[in-house]
Amino acid sequence: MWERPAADAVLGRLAQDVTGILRDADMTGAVAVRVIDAPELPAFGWRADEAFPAASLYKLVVMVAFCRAVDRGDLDPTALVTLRPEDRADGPTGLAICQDPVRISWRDLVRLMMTVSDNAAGQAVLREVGHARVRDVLREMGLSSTVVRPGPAPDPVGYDPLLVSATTASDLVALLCAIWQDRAASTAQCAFMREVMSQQAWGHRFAEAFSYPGAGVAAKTGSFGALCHEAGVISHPGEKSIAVAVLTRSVRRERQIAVSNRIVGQIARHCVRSYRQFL
Amino acid sequence: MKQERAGNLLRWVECFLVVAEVGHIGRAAETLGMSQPPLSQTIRRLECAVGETLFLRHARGVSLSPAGQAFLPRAQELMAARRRVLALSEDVALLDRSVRMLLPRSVPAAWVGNRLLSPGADFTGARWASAPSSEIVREVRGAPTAVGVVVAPIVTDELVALPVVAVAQDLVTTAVVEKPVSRRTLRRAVGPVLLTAPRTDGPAAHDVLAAELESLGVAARLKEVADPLQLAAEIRVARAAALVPHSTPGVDGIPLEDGVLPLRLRVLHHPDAEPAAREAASLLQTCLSRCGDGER
Repeated sequence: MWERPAADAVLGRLAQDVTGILRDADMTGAVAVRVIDAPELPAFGWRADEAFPAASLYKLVVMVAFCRAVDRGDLDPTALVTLRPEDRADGPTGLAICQDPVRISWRDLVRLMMTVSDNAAGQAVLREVGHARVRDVLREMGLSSTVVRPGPAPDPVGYDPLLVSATTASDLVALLCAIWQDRAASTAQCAFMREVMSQQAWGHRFAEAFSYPGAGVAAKTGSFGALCHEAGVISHPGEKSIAVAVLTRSVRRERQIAVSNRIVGQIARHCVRSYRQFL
Repeated sequence: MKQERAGNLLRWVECFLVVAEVGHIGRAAETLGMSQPPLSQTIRRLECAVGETLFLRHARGVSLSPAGQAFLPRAQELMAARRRVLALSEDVALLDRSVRMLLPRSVPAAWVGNRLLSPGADFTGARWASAPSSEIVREVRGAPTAVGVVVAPIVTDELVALPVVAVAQDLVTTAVVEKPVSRRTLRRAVGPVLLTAPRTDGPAAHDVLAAELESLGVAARLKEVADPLQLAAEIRVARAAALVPHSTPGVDGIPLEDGVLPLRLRVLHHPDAEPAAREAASLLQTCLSRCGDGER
């Protein structure tokens, strides 16, 4: 039998590989990985506790806060809300690019917020849920390095994790594990969150890296200028799922974002591939 | 004996044969469309060249002398040889119609000889060769007498492509693993390097293999090897793993679980293929199906 590699050796090499991939791309970054429901396997972290501007990853926390409010009966997910153009946040996708008033249910707003990272939907859901509920989620789930601040700030403030919504790779992985283990909210609401995350529309980053047959991806991207993140869960039939968070920042200008997309996917794929050797 | 130019000799011998058959110089000259004096002179020159008298002259004609009788079969041989020489184009045409069978170079010869074509399917007259799948497609596209087997998926365009046959494969590895290798144990059975055909042999098939390996959690580096000898050596010496068709003779492969990493092969021929090529393609498909675990 080919010796099953020792976990420490593989994870040590993984840290080197991640450093190498980022160095080759001239990027900085943070990575955290954990196999869900496998406490015997060590978690992997590379600068995993370093705070990064969250960009759209703050929407993950808002989604959890929304689902818990639904669980408590504070919010009706099917209630319809009208969003007027003058009240809506700007953004490149979803309702943020529409011109006319839109009438839509709260849970479908959450779906747009997560699947196409709709800023208008994100802002509306956050307003409805309220910052207090978001802070409760962070406190109760022990996500002590994550903070959600109102509204995206323009560059260059966007790169200061003390001024905008911020998070760490390990907080994101902890949050993903809670959603996948039905701890983040009720079973029904956790199933809703997993479903919504599996519907993300993008074909780049994680989706591209795990486009091979059999791989399932449920994830959320975060992009803002030179920031290029993604956090999600990768699943394979008959195997335990793997939660991965990759946060990166490039020194390049936006036009080269394709490089960042590829690197985020490449790092995630390399991590998942390494962990699968133990599964 | 005086050396004569071959052209003269052929002409003389032809004249000799006509005179011998007709038995009269004058009538032979008519048959040959010439007058008698030059024919008589030709015969004399031939007799001079071989150094013997070939005909006995009588009042009513000529008959073969003993030397002439001995010369007759030689003369006939020479004419037959001339016909063979001139029949080259007919033979070439025949050669063109003989079917060319092209198989992927990544498929081991021992498997083709002992599994695919056994027991002795009748491919009489077919000529066999190996080539990269991508080249086979190009060759078959240009030749109605060619039949190709390629590793699928591959773009076949206007060619007639018979259904893909999935051939089960064995894993050749130095690792000690339980049999058969399952989806779950494969990633540890493969080891650090897996030898594959060069990507240029068939880019799509190579990419599909890479994706299937990723799907199975195999983290091995793919090393592209074209030369069968290098493949054999690297398996032995460099402890690299490789996939070979199930029960390839002379290779200690471990069977893979059903449906895992099959070798997908398909038979191709030209849309206007010669009947012989169509027949050969159909026969090859039968052989292939016998090796396959169902068409996919």
